[in-house]
Amino acid sequence: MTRPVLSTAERFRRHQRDLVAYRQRSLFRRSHERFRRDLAIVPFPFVLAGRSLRAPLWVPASEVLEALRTEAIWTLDTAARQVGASGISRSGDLMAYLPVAVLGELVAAGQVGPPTGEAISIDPVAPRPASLLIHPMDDKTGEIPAVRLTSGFRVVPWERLLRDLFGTLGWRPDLMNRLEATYPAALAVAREGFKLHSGGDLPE
Amino acid sequence: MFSASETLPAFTEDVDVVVDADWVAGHEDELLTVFQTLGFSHLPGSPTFIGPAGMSLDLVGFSAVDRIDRIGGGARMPVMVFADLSTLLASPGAVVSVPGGGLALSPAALAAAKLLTIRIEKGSKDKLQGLLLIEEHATTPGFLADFAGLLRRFEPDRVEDAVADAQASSMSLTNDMERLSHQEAGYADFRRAIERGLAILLAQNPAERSE
Repeated sequence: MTRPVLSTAERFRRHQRDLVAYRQRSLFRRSHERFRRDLAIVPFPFVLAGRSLRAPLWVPASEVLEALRTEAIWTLDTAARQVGASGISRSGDLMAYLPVAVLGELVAAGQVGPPTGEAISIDPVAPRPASLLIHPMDDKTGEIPAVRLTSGFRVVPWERLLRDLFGTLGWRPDLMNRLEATYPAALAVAREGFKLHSGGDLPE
Repeated sequence: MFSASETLPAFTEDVDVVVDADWVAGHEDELLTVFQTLGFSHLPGSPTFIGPAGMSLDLVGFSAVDRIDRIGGGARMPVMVFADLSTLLASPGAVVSVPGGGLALSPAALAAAKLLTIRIEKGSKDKLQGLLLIEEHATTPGFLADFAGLLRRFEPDRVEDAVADAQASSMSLTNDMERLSHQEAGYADFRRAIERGLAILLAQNPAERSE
C-alpha cells in the first residue's frame, strides 16, 4: 500500500518531534562521563551471524579452558575472569577467538557438542547449556592482539576488550566502567613477565 | 541534487532536489508551470511532484540568508528549510558541477549531510550511507580535508552526536545480520565496508576538530 504524501507542515512537525527526541538521546549520552572518550572506539562484533559459532560444553569449563590454553585468545567475560577482574555475564559461557579447526578437534574429543551458528548471544534470553562461543580466527578477522598471562592463557588487551564489548552489547557505559575499574590493573599483574619489586608492584 | 552524480540509477523512485527556498517563494508559478510541462503533477500543500512514470520528486530547501529550520517556499508550494543544509551549502567544497551543467552536493557534503541528518525513523540508514560514502571516497584527493572542513562548521555537540550515531548504526547493521539466515550473510562485505568507513571517520578525530 502506498503511503500518503505528507504535507510540508506535517513534515516540519515530525522534524521538530525528532529534534526533541534526539536532544533527549544526546543528554542521556552526555550524562555519562566516558561519552567523549568512547567516541574513538570502532566496535567489533564478536557475535556475528554467519561467522560466530556456539558449541555446548560437554565437560567442565575448566577442562575446555585447559584444552585451549595455547590456541585461544579469550575475550569478554572469559578474559575478565582469567585476569581476575569482574566478569560481565552469568551464563557460564567461554568466549574466545579460535581457529575453526581447533573447535573441530574439541568436538571430536567430545569436550563440546556440535557447533551451531544460529541464535548466538552472550546474554541468552532462554535457558541453554553453558557454551563455548567462538569468533573464528582467520584471515577475515585479521590479527587479534593478545597478552599472554603468567598462567599461559592469552587474553585480549584492554583496548580490544572495549571494542569487543561495544560491538557485541552496544555502548554500555555501566559495564565499561565496571571493567575499567579492574581489568587494566588486573591484566598488568597477571601478564607474563610481571615481577614483584620491593618498591611496589610494577610490570616489567 | 542529493547525489554525487547527475545520473539516476535504474529503479529510482524517490529523488530529492535541493532548492533555495527563498527563490522558490518568488518563482512559484514559474516552477509549477515547468514541472507541469515536464509531466509532473504537484501534490498541494507539499513539496512533492509525481512524474509520469510514478517517480516522486521532492524539493528540499536551504536558505542563503539564515540558518534555521523553518517552512519556506510559497503558499502553494511550501518547502522545508534545513539549517544544516544551509550551513553546508554555504561552505567551500560543498557543491560540484556535473557534466550536464547542473550542480550536485559533493561527496564530502553528502557524507556530512547524511551523518548530521536527524530523523528517528530512518536515522540509521542515513548514517550507514554516510559511512559508505566515506569508505568509498577516502582515497579521493581532497575528500577527507573537505569533509573535515565541513564538519568544523558545526557545533562540537552536533559532531559528537553524529559520531556516536555512526557507531550505533554500525551496530544496528550487525544486529540485522544476526536475524539473517546464513544464505543471506553476503552482507558481510557490506558490513566490512561500514566498519572501514567508521574507522576512517574516527581516525579523523572529527569531534575534537569541530569548533
